[in-house]
Amino acid sequence: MRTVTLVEQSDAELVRHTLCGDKSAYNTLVLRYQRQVYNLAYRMLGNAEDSGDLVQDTFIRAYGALASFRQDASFLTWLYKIASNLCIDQLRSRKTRSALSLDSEREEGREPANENRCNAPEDMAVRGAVQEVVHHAIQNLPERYRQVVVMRHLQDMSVEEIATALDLPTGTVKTHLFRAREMLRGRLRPALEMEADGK
Amino acid sequence: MENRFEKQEEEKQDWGAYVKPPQTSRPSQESEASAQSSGEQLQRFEPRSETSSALCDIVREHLHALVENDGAIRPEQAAAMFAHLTICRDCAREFDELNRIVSVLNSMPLSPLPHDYSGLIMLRIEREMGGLYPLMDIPPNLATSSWTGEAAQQTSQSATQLNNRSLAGILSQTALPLWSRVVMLGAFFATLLLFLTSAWGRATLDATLSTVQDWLHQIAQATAEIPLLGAITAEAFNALSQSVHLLEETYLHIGANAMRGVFLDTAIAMGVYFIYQGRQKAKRAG
Repeated sequence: MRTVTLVEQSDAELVRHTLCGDKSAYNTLVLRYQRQVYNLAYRMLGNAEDSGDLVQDTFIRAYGALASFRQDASFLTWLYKIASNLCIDQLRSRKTRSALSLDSEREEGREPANENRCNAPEDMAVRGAVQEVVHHAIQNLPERYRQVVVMRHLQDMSVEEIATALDLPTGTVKTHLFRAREMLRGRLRPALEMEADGK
Repeated sequence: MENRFEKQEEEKQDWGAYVKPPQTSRPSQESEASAQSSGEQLQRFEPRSETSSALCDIVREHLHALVENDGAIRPEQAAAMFAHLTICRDCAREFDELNRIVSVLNSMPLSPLPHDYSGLIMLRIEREMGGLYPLMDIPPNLATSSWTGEAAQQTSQSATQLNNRSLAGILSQTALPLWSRVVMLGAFFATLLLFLTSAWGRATLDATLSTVQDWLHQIAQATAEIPLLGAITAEAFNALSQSVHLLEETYLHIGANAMRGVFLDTAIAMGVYFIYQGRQKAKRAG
C-alpha cells in the first residue's frame, strides 16, 4: 500500500483539503511558508518578537479568508500580500505612538536628525557586520520603498509578483525599487568602501 | 520619437541579451587596484564636452533599468549605454555602486526562524475559528480536477479517503445536510400520496386504485437496487402499496377538506423551513 504524504502536495491541493475540513493540510502550508513570512516581517518591522506575532496573525487571517483565495494564484504571493498589509498597519500604529515622527521625515525625503541612533555604519563595517549595516539601512527606508526592496532582493520575488502582492502597477513598483536603491547607495557607500578596503 | 541613443550609433554592438558589458573596457568592480587601472583608462579616453554631459544625464536616468536587466531597455540602447560607461568615469562609478548594492542585497541570507509557530497557529485557529471548514458551499470535486500524473492519482486517492472517512465527509459532497434531505423526501412522498389517494388526483391521472398499487410496487422494485438505503426504501414502498386501500378509506373518512388542510400545512412548513435555511446560509457566507 502506498503512503501519501502531504509534503508532496501542491499549495492548491493543500488549500482544497483545508477547505474540506482537513486542518493538517493547513498545518503543512504553515510549515512550508512560515520562514518566508517571518523574514518579510523581520525585514519590515526590524525585531523578532513583532515578527513572530505577525507570522501568527498572517496565517490566522489567511485561514479565515481561504475560501476567497483564487487557486490559480500563488499562495505565497497571497500570503505576502496579507503579511505586508499587516506590517504596514503595525508600522502605522507605531508611527501614531511615536511623538517624533521620524518616518514622516523620511517619507518627505529628509534624513532623520538622529540617524545615528543605531551604531554608525562605519563602525559596523569595521566589525565586518556588513549584513547588519544593510539591515539597518533597509529599516531606515520609507515603508513603501522598504517593502519592494525586501520582496525583490530578500524574498527573491519578481517585479510582477510584487505588483500583484501590493496591488500596484509594475511601473510604480520599479520606481519605488529604483528610488530605494538610490537611497541605499547613498547610505551604504561608506560601508561598501570599507568592505572593499578590507579585501 | 527621436532615439536618444542614436548619437552612439557607430558604437553599437550586438550582445544579444545584454547581461554583461565587454570586460576589456569596463572598470573592474573587484578590487581597488583594478579600479585604479580602469580609472586610468577612463581618464585617458574620457571626452570633455557638453554633449557628453547631456548624455550622462540620459544614461544615469536609465542606469537602474540597466542594472535590473529585465528587458525594459532594448539591446541597442544597452549597447550605447555600455559604450558610454567605458569612457565616462562618473557614470561607470555610479553603475558599479548600483551593481554592488544589488549584489549585497541579493546576498542577504534568510534569518533563521526563532520558533516553530505552526503549533501555536493551529491552536489559535482551533480556538478562534475551529468550525469554519468544511464549507457546505464548496464541493471538493477533487476527482475532476486538472491534476495529472502520479501526484494527481495520489492526491485523488488521498482526497477520496479524506472525504469518505466520515459521515461529515459524505455530507460535505452535497449542498444540503442529511436531515434536510429527509424532510424534503418526506414532504415529497406525503404530497405524492395525497395526490394519488385522493379522488381528484386519481381522476386527474385517470388511474384506478389498483394502478396506483402497481406504481408503488414498481417504484419499490426499482429502489431495491439502490445501494444502502435502497432496501429500506423498497420496503417502505411495498408497505405503502399494501396500505393504499387503508389510505383511501382514511381519505373518505376524514374528508377532502381536511386532507387539503394537511397539504396546505405541509406546504407552509416547507416554505418556512427553506426561508430559514436560506437565512442561515447567507449568515454563514457573510
